[in-house]
Amino acid sequence: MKVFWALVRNDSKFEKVNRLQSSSLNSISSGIVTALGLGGFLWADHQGFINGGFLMWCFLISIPFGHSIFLLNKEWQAGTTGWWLTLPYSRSLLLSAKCVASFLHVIKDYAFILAITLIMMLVQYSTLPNFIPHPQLLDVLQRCAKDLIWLLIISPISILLGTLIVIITRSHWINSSSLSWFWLGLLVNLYVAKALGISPRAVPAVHPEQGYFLSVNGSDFFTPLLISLTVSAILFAFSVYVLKRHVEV
Amino acid sequence: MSNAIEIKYLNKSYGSKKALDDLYLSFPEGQITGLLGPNGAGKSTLFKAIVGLIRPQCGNILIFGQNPHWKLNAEIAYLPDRAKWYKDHTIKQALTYALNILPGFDLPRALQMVDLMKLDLYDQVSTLSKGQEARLHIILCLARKVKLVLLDEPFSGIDLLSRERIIQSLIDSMLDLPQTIVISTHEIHEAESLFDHVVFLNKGELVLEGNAEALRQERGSIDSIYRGLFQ
Repeated sequence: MKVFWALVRNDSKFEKVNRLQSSSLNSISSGIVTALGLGGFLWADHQGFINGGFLMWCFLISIPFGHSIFLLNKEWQAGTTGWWLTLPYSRSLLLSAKCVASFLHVIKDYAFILAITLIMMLVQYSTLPNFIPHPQLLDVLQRCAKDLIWLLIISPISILLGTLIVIITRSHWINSSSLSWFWLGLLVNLYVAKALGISPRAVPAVHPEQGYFLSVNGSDFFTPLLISLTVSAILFAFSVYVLKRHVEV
Repeated sequence: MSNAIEIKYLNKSYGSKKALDDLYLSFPEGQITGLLGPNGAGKSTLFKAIVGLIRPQCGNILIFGQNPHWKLNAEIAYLPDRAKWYKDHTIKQALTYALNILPGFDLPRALQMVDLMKLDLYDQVSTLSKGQEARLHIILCLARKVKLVLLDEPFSGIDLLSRERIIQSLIDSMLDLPQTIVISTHEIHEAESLFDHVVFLNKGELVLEGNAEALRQERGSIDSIYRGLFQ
């Protein structure tokens, strides 16, 4: 266990610092891509193709997927795979440490989004005149928390999907970190969320029984959790198989 | 004398290019072996096959009588070619991480080597020069109490003083703890005094192998043998 948590700690830290160390050129290009993407979405929103709820849904669902891709891919980009893959531990232990590190980051990010949402609510309510009825903060908190639980339930699938995509692109089957694989994985990730009944909301906070960011069919957590864990276990087993048999560095 | 590694009819191809071609050789236990050959000779591929980073198409590798397996890597300290360590670590963090995850890592010995190699524990890896980072890699390998040390191009792109420090630490390491060390290098002139045994490879095939001293007496320096074989 000591080894496992040492690996998790290193993987978590690895991600944080490499983000800080990204070059200014990278920052500018990511900024331009984000602005273009956001502009495209806003235009589509204005035209009525998509809406803010859809954007938020895409963003929230993609966080775990992005984390796992970034974290695992860094091992190749930083040139540390020679050390990592010759550690005297099984490939499944090495990969599970990466997945746990991704999951911890996901929890941190979701908690951050929850905190920002609540702060914004507080600020917004404090500026409303007294004669306008104020929504209950506790109600918003409950609905956000419900959303976060659903997101955490499906996040193992997203993390493992990202992991599998990176491993396949690094295997001798494909051997290229092509962007098309990233977009394919992202689309599959969104479809999985939709298939599990987690849909975007047109306008946030309409009915008190619904979530704040998401619209979820049903309130039973158990079945989606079971499906999520089963699919994740299959994806994990396949990732370990590909890493063991078809990835050479 | 027993062999630490036995390679039998090992083959590895990348597409149509043969990296290892029916390679049959052994590395004697408790000695420093120089694995020599021009670029593309198959030296790095051989190391990777030993530590399980690649899967040979056919042939057999025995390391202390066992087939390569991740569990066996607990007994192998491997320095990859063009190795890079985690840039966000300081040297101290790198050593602590190594202590936590690398079996047999001897922290007091590593700290002693940091001192000898003139490194600062609080320097971040991203700020180290190529020579300083290479010295850190050597420490991470040589401070381990393992039976086998594989160093793939440890002197590549490093200044003369750093090379001398690394060679000195290799000598000290062998005096402190007898290990089987295999070094692949192009810097034959500086490293040849280290070698007890030498293996020459070319295009994945064994060209020549033998006791370094016997070869020197028979054919001159290892450097001149290399030039004679590959020029």
